[in-house]
Amino acid sequence: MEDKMDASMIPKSIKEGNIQVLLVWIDTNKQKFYRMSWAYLKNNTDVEDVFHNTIIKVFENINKLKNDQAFEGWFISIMLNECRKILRDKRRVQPSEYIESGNTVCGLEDSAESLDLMDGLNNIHEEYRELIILKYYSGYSQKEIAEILNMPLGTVKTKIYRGLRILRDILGRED
Amino acid sequence: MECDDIRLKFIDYLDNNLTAEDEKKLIDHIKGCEECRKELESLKKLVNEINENAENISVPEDFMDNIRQRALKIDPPVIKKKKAPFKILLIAAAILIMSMATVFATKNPMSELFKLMNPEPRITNTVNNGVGKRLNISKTDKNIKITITDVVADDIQTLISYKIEDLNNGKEYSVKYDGGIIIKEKWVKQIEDTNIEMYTSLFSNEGKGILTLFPIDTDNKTINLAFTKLETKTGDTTEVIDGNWNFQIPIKKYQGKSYNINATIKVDDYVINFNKITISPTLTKVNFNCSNGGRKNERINNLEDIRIIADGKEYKPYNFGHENWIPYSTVGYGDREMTFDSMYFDNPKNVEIRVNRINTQIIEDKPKEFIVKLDEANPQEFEYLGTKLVINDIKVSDNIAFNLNQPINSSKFETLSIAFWPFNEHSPEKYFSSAGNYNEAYFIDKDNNKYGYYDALLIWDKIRTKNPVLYIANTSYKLHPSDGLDIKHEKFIRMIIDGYNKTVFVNGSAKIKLR
Repeated sequence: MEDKMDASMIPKSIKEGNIQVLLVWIDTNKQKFYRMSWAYLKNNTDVEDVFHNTIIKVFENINKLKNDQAFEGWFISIMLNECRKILRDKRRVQPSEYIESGNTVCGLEDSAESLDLMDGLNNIHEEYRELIILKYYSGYSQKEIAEILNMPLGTVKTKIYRGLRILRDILGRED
Repeated sequence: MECDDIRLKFIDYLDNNLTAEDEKKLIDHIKGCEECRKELESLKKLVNEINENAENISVPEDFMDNIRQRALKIDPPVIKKKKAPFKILLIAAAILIMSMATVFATKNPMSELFKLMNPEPRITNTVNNGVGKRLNISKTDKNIKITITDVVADDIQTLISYKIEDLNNGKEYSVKYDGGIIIKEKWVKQIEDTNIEMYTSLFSNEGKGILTLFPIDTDNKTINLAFTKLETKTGDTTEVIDGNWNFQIPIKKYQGKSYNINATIKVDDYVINFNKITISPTLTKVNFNCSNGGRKNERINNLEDIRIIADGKEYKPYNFGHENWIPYSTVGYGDREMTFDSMYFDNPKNVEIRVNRINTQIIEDKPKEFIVKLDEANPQEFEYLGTKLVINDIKVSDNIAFNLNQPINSSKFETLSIAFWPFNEHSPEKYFSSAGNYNEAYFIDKDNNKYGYYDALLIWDKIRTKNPVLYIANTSYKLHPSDGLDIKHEKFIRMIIDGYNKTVFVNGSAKIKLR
C-alpha cells in the first residue's frame, strides 16, 4: 500500500521540477523493478540502462499521463517496453546461438537449472512472459497486474496459467 | 469442464488467495481427480522454482546510487502552464509563462518590463533588413479592424505581427490566447495536454501583438489564420468579443546558418558543453548540455544570463537570460538550448560565450518535515538551514490559506522547494493541491543592496556584475484539499522541504571560431 500512496504524487512533483520523489519511490520499489528487468535482460548493466531510460521516458511523457493515480502502471508499462527494446537490440547484434547457450550472457551465480528456467522464459511468447514476470519476479497480484496492463482479471488468470503450462512444456518438466 | 474451472483457480490457491468455500471445492475436486492433482503438483513445483530463482536476484548495493547519479543529470521537463495569475510572474523562471498567456500591460514597472520583452523590434528590424515581408492586410468585423503587419519566418520560429484598432471607441483589445486563434494548416504534432497548437506564444501590448508559431516545414507556405475571440479589459473585468478576422498569409522561410562547435567550460565540478550555434534572422540559438561532475543531489537548473560577444558587440539572451524561454517547443533533457539576439546581419566569424551565473538545485537526502498547527493564531516559527521561516495568518475554510515569510535572506539558499501534506495521510485520495503566490520578491546583490523584482530586471545590465540573487520574502499559499480529504477536523499539516536553489557565480568563457 505504501508504494501506491506515493506514486500518484509523483507526476505533480516531476512537473514542478522535483525528481526526488520519483527517485525515492523507485528506491522503495527497486527490488520488484530490478527483478522484473533482470528476468528479461539478465545483466546489471542493461538493467541499469532500463531504469535510466525509463526515467527519461517518464520525464518526456509525463504530460501525457491523464490520471495521476495510474502512475505506477504507466511506469511499469514504460519499463517493460524499455526491457523489450534492449532485448530486441541485443538479439539483433548477437548471433542467436550466443543467446541460446545462455551461460556467457548470464551473470547469475546459480545452477544450470535456473539458467534453463530463464532461457525457457525467454522463449515463450511475450503475451505470457510479461505476465509471469510481473507475477513471480515483481510479485504483483493477479488483480494488480490486471490494473497495470489494463486487462480483465479473468484474462490475466487464464494467461498466467496458460503461460506456466507453456513454460513447463518448454522446460520439459511435464511430470 | 469442471477440471478447467478448477485449474484456473490453481494460481490463486498457490497464492493462498481463495475463499474458504472455493478452497474446499478445489481440495474436494483434486481428491477425486488424479489428473488435476498431478497438474497442481507440477504447477506448484514450477512456481516454487520460479520464486526461488526470482529471490536469488538481488539488487546490487550501489545500484540505486548509480541510478540516482545518472538521473540527476537528466533535467526534468519544462512544463508550461496554460494560465497563470500575474503574481507568479514574480519568479524569474516563470517569465516563460508570459509567452503562453496574453499579457495586458497595465501598470509600471510591469509595462516597462513588457516593453523590453516585446519581440516587435526583432521583427521590424528583420523586415527592414530585407528578410521577411511587410504585408499590411486588414479585415474588419464588429467594427474592429485587425491588420497583419509583418511576417518573418526562419528555422527557429515564425513571427506574425498584427495590430487591432477599435473603429468605434478606441478601446484596447488583445487576441484571446485560449481558443481565439485558429490556424488551418498543421505542420507540427500538437504537444499533448497543452493548448499549444500551432502558435506558441502571443504577445500583446497597446493593441499590437506578435504571434509566434513553430517554424514552418517547407520553404514557402500560405497559412490560413483566423482570429475569433478578442478580449478587452476595463478595470478588473474582461470582456470577450467573438468575431471572425481571417487572413491568408504567404510565408517564406529563411534558413539560418548552423555551426557545430565543441566548446567546453569547466567551473568547479560543473561541465558545460556547447555543441551548436544557429544564427538565424530572428534569433541566435545555442545548444548545450550540462553535467554536475558527479555531485550527489546537486544539479544545474539553469544557466542564467549567458552572453555572447562578437566583434566587440554583446548579444543578450532573449528575455533576461532565462534559458527556459525559447520561442517554441519544450526543451530536451540532456540537451538544452537558449536563444539570443540575432547575429544574422552582423555575420560574425569569432564569438565568445561567457557564463557567469549557474542556478543549481540542491536536493535533500531526506526531505525535512515541519509540523504546522492549524488552530494557532500566533505566528509559527521554523528553522531551515539556519534561516527562520514564519507561517502566519492561517485561515481554514474550505481551503487552508496562510502566509509564509522569510524575514531575512539566507546565505545558504535562495528559493525553496516546498510542499504541504496532510498530517495523517498523504495518499492518492488525501492530498492538497496548492497554489503559492509570491507577494514579495527581491534581488539582493553582493553588497546587500535590495531591489524590487521588476526594478532589478529593468536595470539588470547595471546590476548584473554585482551578482544579484533572487530572494522570496513572502508567499501566500492556498491549499485545496482533495475530494477524499476532510479538513474540518484537521489540527495540523506537514510542511515538506525537499531542497532549494542556489546561484553559483563563475567566470567561464569559451572562444569559438565559426566555420
